[in-house]
Amino acid sequence: MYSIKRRHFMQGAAVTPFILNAPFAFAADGERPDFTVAVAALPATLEPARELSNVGTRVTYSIFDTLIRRDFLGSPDGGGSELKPHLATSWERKSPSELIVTLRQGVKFHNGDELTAEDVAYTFRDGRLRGEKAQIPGGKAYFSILSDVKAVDKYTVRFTTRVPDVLLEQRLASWCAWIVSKRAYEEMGFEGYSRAPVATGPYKVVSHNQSDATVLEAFDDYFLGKPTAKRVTFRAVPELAARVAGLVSGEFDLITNIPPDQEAVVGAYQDIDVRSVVLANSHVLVFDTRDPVLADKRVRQALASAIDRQKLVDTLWLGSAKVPASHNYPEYGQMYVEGRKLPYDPERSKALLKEAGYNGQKITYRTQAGYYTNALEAAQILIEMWKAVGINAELQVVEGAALRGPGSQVFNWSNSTRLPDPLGALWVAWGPAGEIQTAGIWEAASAKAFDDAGRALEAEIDPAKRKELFVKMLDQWEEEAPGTILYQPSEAYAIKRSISWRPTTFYFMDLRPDNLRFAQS
Amino acid sequence: MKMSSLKAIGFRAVRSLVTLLLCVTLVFVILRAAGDPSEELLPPETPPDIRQEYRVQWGLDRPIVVQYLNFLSRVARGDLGESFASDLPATELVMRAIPKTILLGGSAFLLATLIGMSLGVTAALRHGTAVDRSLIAAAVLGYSMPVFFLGILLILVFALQLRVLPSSGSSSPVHLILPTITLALPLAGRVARFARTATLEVMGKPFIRTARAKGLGQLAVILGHALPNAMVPLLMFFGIEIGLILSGAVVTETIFAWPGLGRLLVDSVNMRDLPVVQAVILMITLIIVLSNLFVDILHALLDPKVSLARTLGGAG
Repeated sequence: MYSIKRRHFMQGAAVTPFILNAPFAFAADGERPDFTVAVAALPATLEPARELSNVGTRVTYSIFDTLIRRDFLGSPDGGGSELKPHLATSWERKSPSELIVTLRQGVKFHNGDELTAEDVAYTFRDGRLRGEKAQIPGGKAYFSILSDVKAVDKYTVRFTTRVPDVLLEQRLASWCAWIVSKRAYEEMGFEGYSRAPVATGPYKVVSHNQSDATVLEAFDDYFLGKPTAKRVTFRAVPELAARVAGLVSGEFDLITNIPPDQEAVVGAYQDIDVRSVVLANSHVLVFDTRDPVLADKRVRQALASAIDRQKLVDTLWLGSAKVPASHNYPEYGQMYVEGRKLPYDPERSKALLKEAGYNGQKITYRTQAGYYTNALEAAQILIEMWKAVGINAELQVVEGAALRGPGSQVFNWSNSTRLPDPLGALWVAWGPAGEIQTAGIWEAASAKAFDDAGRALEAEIDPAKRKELFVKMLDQWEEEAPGTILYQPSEAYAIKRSISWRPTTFYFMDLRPDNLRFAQS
Repeated sequence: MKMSSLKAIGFRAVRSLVTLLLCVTLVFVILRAAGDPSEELLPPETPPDIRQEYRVQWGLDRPIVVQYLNFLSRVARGDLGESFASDLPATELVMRAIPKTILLGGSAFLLATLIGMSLGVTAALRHGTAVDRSLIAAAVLGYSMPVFFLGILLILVFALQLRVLPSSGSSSPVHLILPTITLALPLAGRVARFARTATLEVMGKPFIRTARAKGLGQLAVILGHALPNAMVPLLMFFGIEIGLILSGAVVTETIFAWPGLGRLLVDSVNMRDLPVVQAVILMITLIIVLSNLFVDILHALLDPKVSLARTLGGAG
């Protein structure tokens, strides 16, 4: 019996090197290697505005381009927010609600067509990302602000917004702003295009199967130059051990989603490098202001200032996560408020509780077990931190919907910085249109001053006044404490050491020629 | 075929339909009780009004009874709905995954039968000896090893340490090796134990003594007389095992990134992609029901002592 198995393996051993090496074999013209990425999951489709999750943008970012490029890698932390020409060579404000964009000439789509203003107008047309019957309702969160997008001539587009919008240029460099080919979209239809889109990006689609792989091929007419890999394959490998094994054995070049406690293990291999990045996202806690115990804001403030956030970062994330300066991030540029800090003062917590007349009523913290990395571990530590200041805290591990269901007092959530401005983060999550206020979790009376400042910020274009309003919002958010921030989590990739590539603070994986390079062999 | 046999098959077909209906209903209710799919399918910061728009698009805003009746009437027309995530017909996704699962399940089944039968028969023939005891110990070890543990162990040894076999994907025949072994070993252990018992039972029967008495050699006795008679209970056993193979495939396919039915099920449950989950469960139930029916019919055909009507039930 043993001999049969052994022979089986020996045969496998004889054949395997040939098969395994095939993907790495250099192309016949002797230049570009293939690049294989093992991801935990793949998106259902490749229509970029439909797939806004981390698994979707990771892939579509190599197929599509935006008019303006956000220069993530211009900052050492991968979170740069400076804007650079991309499909557009220049843009000019005609008024606070009007932007004229000039397109680069000679940019080719994967089907050989030239990019024109018609394609841009089609991408942002009423009925796709905005309007009553938007094909992709998720697009409204970013572009319902547009009232009109018109092709002025072949290479000029005029964007008009309903109200003055200081963020329009940032919007055009980010989520949902990926330019599609009008002709291909109309010929293939919504569903057809979703499966095999035609765009201008560095790689074109060869095949896509969500449970297996997405295969892309270099688009040699790419306007930023020939892509550095001949073929890029995103392979769905849900099991971490299999991803690591494939990287070590040479089957994969890069793998995603390495949990913090595995970074050292994977990084111990000589030819493998772990590259981690602090995400443009914060794990937060929400305090239900309607709850009888939490109705007193001093109790909420006490919960927030009893948390030793740095300790969570050091122990659970081994230092790779980060405690932000409140709901306030460096990528805001001029809007970033220097010198702010989240409170950690157990003595103050105790004093606040005493002042509020808190006498040991139970406060329950609900979390899902596996939704956010380290959520359960953090929850257990939080409970102890709260108990240490005299809060009668209790942990409940629940499934999705129960998180905010009846009896919920404290639960976890996350806030992404989608656009590098308070209006693209704090306001989206905690403003009157966000889910916390619409669900009534942060009561209108308590949120009023915050909402007033936010509404004023939406209408303001003067930088100094905008910053003033933002400070007011931050003060209100911390004072009313409808929640608090824990930390910004990190995300780690493991890659062959010889390959030069940097991650960004979004899940967007930049494989453009200037960010993906292979060692000369 | 006799009238009673036809009646029996008809009875069984109706019973199978009821099983399918119960299964699908249970899945329908449990999935909807497990939470709102829009929570999993949409990014966490999706504004509530947009979330609601998707819920309307997916028909989740209607009362569950209405959803259920709609679902049933569509199923009756062979339409299992469209995936929430990709808008592809759920049937298409299932049909794309099935060949991969059949390939993996089939090769694991063959390998397990080969290993299990030879071990089991050898153990039976060496009944009570050290060989018997050690083979049975090996079989117990095989079937009590959890699939996820065995799979990761194999990955560690053959992909990570020896670097001779690929650990994930399905792009070449070599990729089949590790998942097949993972799925086959526990099954081989069960087959070995069953084959041993069945062979032992047959070996004690008078017709074996007769065969020996007329001067047949050991091999001829085993191949010509013992095995064919031991096959009948084994056949029943295999019918049940098909279900276990499919459940093993759920784990094996996830570990080895094998794009089959099991992976599709896990992915769509994670995403709460209800139409796809329902289609996969329906398909798996159908496979199990049909294979059991097939085994029962085969049993009646192989064993003259058994009438079809009695095996299938429902005979008066």
